[in-house]
Amino acid sequence: MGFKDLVATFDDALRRHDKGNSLKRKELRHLEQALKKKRAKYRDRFYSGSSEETSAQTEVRLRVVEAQLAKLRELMEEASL
Amino acid sequence: MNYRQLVFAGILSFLAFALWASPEFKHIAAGVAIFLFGMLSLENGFRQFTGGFLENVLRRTTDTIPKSLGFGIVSTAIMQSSSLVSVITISFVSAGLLPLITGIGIIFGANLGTTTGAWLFATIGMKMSLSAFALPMLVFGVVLNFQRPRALKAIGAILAGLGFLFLGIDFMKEGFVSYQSAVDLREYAMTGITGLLIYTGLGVLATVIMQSSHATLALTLAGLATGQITYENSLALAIGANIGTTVTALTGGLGANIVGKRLAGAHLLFNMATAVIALILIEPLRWSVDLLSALMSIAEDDYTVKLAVFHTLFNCLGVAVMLPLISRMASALERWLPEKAEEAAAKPKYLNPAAMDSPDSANAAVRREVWHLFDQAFVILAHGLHLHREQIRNCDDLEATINNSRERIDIDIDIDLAYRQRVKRLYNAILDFISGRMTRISSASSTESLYRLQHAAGEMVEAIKHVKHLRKNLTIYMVADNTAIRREYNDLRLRVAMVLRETHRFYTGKFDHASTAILELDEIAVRARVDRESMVARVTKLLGAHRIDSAMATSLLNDSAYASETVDAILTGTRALLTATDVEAARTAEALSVSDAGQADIIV
Repeated sequence: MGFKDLVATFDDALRRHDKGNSLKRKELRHLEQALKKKRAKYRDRFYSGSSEETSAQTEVRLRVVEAQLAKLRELMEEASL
Repeated sequence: MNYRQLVFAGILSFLAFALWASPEFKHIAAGVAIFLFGMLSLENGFRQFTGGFLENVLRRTTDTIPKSLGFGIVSTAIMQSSSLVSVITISFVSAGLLPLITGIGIIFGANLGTTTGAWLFATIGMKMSLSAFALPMLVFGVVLNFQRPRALKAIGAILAGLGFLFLGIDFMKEGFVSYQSAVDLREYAMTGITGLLIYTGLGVLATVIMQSSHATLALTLAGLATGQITYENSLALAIGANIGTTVTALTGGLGANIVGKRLAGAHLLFNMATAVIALILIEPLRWSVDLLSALMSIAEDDYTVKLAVFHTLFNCLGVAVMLPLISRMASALERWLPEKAEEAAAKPKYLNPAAMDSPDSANAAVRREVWHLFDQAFVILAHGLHLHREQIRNCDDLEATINNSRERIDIDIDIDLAYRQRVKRLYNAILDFISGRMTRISSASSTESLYRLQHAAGEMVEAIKHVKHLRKNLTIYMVADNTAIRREYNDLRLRVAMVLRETHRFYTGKFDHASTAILELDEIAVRARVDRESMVARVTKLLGAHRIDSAMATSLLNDSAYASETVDAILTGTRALLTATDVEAARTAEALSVSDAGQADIIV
């Protein structure tokens, strides 16, 4: 493998890495939107009450979404967005 | 008292009267009873050996029709029980491990195998005083039956079975001998076509009542040996026994799935055709028996052995006539007894050789088939919880439905059998397809996706196994009078049912985005965990308040663990299924998932 080939391979690898990061960023943003929407829905359900489940059950859901959002923020910081 | 109970009571009263009125009849009836008990014990002994060995032999030696015929002959000749061979064959064919045509071959072979019984009774049974062998056999049989090792127990049951069989024959012979001095049954002998048809009918009747053609044959041979039944009539009785035995097979087949019904149908067709051939060709068959007997140096008046020759000859003739028609018979049975939609649903729908050609089509086909497997498993899991699929999917207030209903669904359902019939076939097909696809070139993500799908199917199979354990106590306690234990078991049902309900839409493809669906699984998992932990706290309180006893408490805690394992398996399977749709995107979602420790923090 010549020097030119080596550079081309390295370039390809970087491009793939960038593409992966961009995909990951896109996915994280999508998930952030979805989780925030869900948090709003559960908050609303928690304060106004629902026939679907008890408020304790909604509270558990809310806590899960909060925990997922906290993890998401950590991942976003890692990806320095 | 209903009609059936009245008839049964009438039969018992008549039997009691006959036993009281005739000491000779009592002797013969006792002989039949001992003989039948021996058959049961023999079957029970061989059944203990079938935990793997017989199945392995069956799997390896039945790939062609001649081999399956040979297996039927040899296994029935050794075990002297065509019903045991038929039961194992039905289970194999219904699980898709054997094709119908091979199953029919085994059934034909089993019919030939039963003819060895006639030889056994006609030679050893009628020529020797068997009580000399029978009694030591019984002693050794019972002693061995008390031993701990399974093999010794089985040998004991077989020995005791043979002992009872021989003792029963001896009793029957003695009964007929004493009858000779009181009544001459030969007065009732009939000749010509009328005799042939009436004695064939009597053979059918005796076999249907005793549920054993072997017992009818033994009884006929005992009557023949003592001269109470004529040779001509004994031939008709043997033909009747062959027809009568199909009633047992039909009764067994009614409770089986469509494949079992088809096999029972094949048994009926074969035996009826053989009997009709034997009735039409009775005279040529008699000459052939005489000819063969002369060739085999069998005495002209040795009617018991000649009856055995006749029995073998007409069954061989039946096989010779029917064997070339076996594939036509299989397709006719498939046409006459079509598969129900439910059973057709248990067949792989999406996996076909064409789908294996490209990685994308292969992944899509496997994903759909795993969804299909989940759907089939859903039915078993729902029934395992004594709930209908529709109740879990559509009921507005599932909690109230569970608490208010004490309906036990399919109380005798065999979860293992249901698994073999509905899921195992799909699971096998999925594994076969994936391993076939792995031999071809695919991208890393495509291969990983297939592995995840395989994992998903495996987890759902695990869930079925856990529900099987959970169901044992659930079936008892869900209808218990103790409201506390009943409520707790209903809570367990609700815990699993809620997870099934929430995950159901994922594996029917009703979700917008796989990543958000994966995160939603965390909510379901945490809720199930909360339910489990609150149950543990309640059990302690209920035990302290003496509302449940310690046995109930331990059962509940064990079953709560089974429920949690079921929930975990369903959730892990669903997660694997969802992550397989887009492996790259799923990795990001998985990174956000709340771990076990995280779930514990949330609950605190």
